[in-house]
Amino acid sequence: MRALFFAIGQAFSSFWRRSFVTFLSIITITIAMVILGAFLLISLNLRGAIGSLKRQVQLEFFLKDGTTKADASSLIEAIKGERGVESVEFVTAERAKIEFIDEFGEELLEGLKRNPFPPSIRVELAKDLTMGEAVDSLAAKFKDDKLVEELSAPNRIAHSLAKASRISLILTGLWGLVLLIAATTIITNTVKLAISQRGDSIRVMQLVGASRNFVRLPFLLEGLIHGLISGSLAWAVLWGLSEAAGYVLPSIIPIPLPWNISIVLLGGAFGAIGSIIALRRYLNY
Amino acid sequence: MVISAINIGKSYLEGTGSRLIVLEDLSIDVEGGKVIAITGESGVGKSTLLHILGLLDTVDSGRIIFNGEDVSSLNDSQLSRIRNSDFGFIFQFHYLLPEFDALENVALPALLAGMSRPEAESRAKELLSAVGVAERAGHFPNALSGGEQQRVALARALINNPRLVLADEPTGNLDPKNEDKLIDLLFGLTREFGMAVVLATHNMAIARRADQSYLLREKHLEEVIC
Repeated sequence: MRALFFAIGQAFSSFWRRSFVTFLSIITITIAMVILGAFLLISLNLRGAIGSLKRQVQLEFFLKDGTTKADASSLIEAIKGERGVESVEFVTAERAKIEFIDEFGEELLEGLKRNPFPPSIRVELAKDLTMGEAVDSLAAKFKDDKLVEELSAPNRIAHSLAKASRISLILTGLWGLVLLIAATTIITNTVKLAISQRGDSIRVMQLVGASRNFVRLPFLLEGLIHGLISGSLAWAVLWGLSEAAGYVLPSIIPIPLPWNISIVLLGGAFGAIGSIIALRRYLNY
Repeated sequence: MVISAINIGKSYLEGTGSRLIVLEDLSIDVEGGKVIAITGESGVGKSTLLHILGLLDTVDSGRIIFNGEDVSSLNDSQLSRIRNSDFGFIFQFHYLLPEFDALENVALPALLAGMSRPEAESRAKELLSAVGVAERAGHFPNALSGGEQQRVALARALINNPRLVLADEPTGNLDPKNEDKLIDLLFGLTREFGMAVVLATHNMAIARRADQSYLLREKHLEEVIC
């Protein structure tokens, strides 16, 4: 308990004694965290954009005249059982007509004595990386079904989107890893620089009989506090950035709260771990 | 016997990958209340030996016996406790904490040992008085002269009544006047309190004032008899 009080006192008093180094350290960690967070914001929105395009990819099986409700139901069940199918919906001829009128107006249908639209089954696909394969497989399996008159299958779009998803996943993963390594290196070096000024003090503490943990604790707390402050500042900056971006792109997806909290905690973890790594060089005794 | 080094060896890995042997099959006994001087050329291993005796460094071979116990079996916190309660250190570079004033620097080992703050500060004041810098108690190290800093370091080394004081070139940065003053204080106070001293020095005049004097040469200790 005594060690903890000493550590807390040292950690806070160091803020004022080394205000310039503290300021530099906090700013550097904040910049690293903002870069990480901005990357998160961009990748979230990229994935969101691809996701919303994927939602527009549907297969539609147009049914032959004379299809009974029971036949349609059994086909729906068969499609539902296929891999990559998110949902299946039966669209009556009447609903198809209403949708057409909503989109193109009534004029085009004037003069027609009967509803030209056949009933159909719309299939929404799971928004995963196998979307292209799912479209191919469903088309191959059901296009020649005795109930199916015609099939609308956006194979090329589905494949392109699946490929875009795959590439974006790999790129964001790799770039995220690079940024994480860069942030860790920058933060560790910043903390190292701050601690290098106190190498002699660390040696003195060990000479007068302080254990390694006793020496570590104030630095650990100091790194943790720097990191938490930096993480909080990064949160504020990222919030401002996404608000500003919202004026230009109203559909922008902001960073969700749990991710924001993770940025603050990650900042704290970076600060604390950076201190421990930086201290290893000085804890010789 | 306060501490004994028995057939110790120490080497360091050099940048080239080869090992530089500093100490080899070296033995020394440090009796309570005795002042031992270690002399030798620069880089011969005096500081390494003092670091080993102060449990600040480990040996490659041989044993260090403190209080009848082999220290190789002790963990970091046990070694830290011994350094705090049984050893006092004085180095050429004063190694005072810059963020603490002289009184706080001297009181620190006592606080680490569990002494209350008023008690530790009162003892620190006594010692600052004994080394002649009582009026500088509230000054930070950067406001003290080299001689004053080294006297504060001496007071800090003595505050927990250690059994052994290890002094590595304590006068290396001092002018002759301050050098004499510090050695008088070191020898006088440690003899008064019955503490053993192991002192590494280049200065033969200081070595001659010790109870025993050794020359560290070619990895071994040789006793100097005159």
